[in-house]
Amino acid sequence: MSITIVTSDNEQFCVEKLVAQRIALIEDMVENAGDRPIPLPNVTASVLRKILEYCEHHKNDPLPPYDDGSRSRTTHISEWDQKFITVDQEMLFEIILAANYLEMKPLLYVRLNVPRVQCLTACNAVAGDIGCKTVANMIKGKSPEEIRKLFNIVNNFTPEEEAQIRKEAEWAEDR
Amino acid sequence: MEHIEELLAGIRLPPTMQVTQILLKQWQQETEILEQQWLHAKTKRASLAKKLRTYALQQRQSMILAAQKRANRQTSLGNLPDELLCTIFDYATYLVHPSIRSLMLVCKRFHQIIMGTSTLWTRIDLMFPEDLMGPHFPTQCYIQACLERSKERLLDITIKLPCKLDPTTYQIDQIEKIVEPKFGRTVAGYVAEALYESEWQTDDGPVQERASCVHRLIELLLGVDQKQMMRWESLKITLPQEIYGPTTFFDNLGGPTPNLRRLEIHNLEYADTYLIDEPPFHDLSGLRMMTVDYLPSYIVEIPGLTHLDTEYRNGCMFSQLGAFKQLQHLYVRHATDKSDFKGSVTLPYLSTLHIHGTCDQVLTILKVPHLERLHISSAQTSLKRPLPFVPLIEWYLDDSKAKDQLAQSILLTDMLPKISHTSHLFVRGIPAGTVKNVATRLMNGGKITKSLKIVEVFSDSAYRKVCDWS
Repeated sequence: MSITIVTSDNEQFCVEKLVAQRIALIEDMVENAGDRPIPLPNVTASVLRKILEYCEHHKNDPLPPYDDGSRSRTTHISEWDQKFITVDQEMLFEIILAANYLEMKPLLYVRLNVPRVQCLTACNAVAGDIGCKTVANMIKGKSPEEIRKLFNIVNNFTPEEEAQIRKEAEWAEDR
Repeated sequence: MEHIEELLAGIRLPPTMQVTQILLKQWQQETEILEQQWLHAKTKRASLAKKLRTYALQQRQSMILAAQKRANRQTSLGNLPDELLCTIFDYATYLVHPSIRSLMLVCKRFHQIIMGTSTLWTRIDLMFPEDLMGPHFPTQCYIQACLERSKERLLDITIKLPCKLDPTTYQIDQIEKIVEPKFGRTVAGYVAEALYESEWQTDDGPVQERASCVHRLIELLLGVDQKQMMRWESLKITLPQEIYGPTTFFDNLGGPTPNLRRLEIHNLEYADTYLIDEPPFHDLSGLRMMTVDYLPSYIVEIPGLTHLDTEYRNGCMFSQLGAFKQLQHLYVRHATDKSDFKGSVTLPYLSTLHIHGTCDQVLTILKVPHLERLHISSAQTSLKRPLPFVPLIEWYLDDSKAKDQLAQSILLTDMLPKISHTSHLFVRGIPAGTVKNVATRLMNGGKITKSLKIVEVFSDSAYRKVCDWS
């Protein structure tokens, strides 16, 4: 069984229901939409294509190891995920935003009928999270100037403000 | 004027009072002119500098506007909502939490988000260098900043203690290091022994200061009257690999820790000798997850513990395990075929069991009536007993020795008929083709339980279905 999704640039995608159900936002819409196509006004076709590629690849993943709810998460990304997320910066941020908007969750929870609340709390390894980890890895070990340059961010501090923050954060100087 | 003076000097006449007055007047006029010129130049310079600052400001504003326009046109890091930036910052500062400083200095928005998000300050990494006198020593200001900015939230603490925390031990170790290359290990050992026996004490100021600093920082984390311990939600300690090293650290851990949910201790065996008499953490009633190298005898009962990750160590874990009746998830590491434990242990609520190493003994001793998932990561190519009743098994053939196809086929031929009441099998470390061939052959020969419906194999970073008998 499949459903039709329409992206913001009016492209239609025919998606296996099992895959689409991984996306919480779509799951909610399916109930109300019936047979009608589901509109996704905030996601473009190119981004949805990537997200569906991710869902398709990981659809048979077993349940991840128990989620302890701790923050001691690693920023490790598997080889396939690494290749998947090797995209230009604009696409990377689009994926992060779209995955967040779509509330993605691991497919196997759908397969095993695990309650949704549990799915959402246990879900870590989704496309958006891979994106966040990728950006974090890009940031790690870089100076403020290097981060600005990498992401085209303007330094809008006045020299006085910058000096003040440097002074306040002297505790990290010897790192 | 100079030429008048030259003229007067030339005619060799003493200068009269009148001539001197004329000269003074002329020099005064000259001074006034120069002063006016100087003032004019100063005013001009100030006006030009002001003009230049205005130009720079205009240029800067136009640059900001241009960059903002560029940024608005496409999705960038700056477009992400605050909560996603927080997630990124959390990952980016993982392991090196003080690097949060770099992020604060990027732009005003990053600074505002970081300063305004107390959760980003709840993680405190007190990572001392291995050598007490090594670089990158944590500072008091860092701990204070985290404690204040986390705004009474529960804390996630990581501590890595340095080696040779006692100044005298540190200095004797340094002496040994100097003596050993010249006179050999035995002589160096004698020297150290002699120093210990004579109760030699160091008076090295910097070493003592560093050692005191370690204690001060830990005390800061403990708080006045150990009150900060009430805020500890997660604690990960890596002890130095030396006996008696961290005694002073554990001496202070007597305060109440009602919110401590996760505890992870590495190199616990080095602290064993004194922890047997003085067990740390008097109240572990809130603890849900524990990771320890092994289960020491002084950890007798933790009623609410649901997750345990520990080493097998000849089965010594089993004698303690019975006290953790609420366990739901168990990781057993370095499991072997040997066991000093006789009998069995029932864990009525265990739903997930991970075994790293040889699984037979663990599966023989443990009685797990409600197991839902069994994960085995092992190099063994044969099984001595049937696998338990469990709906899902993940088997990871984890060894380079068993990489040849024959060994893999032997394992599958031995393991698959020992499965019962399992519907889903995940295999890792064996090629999909081998799994499919062996599983199909055995199923057709009626040697696999009919309950097995799906077999999936890990390849190309994901599991792929190779057999579907559903």
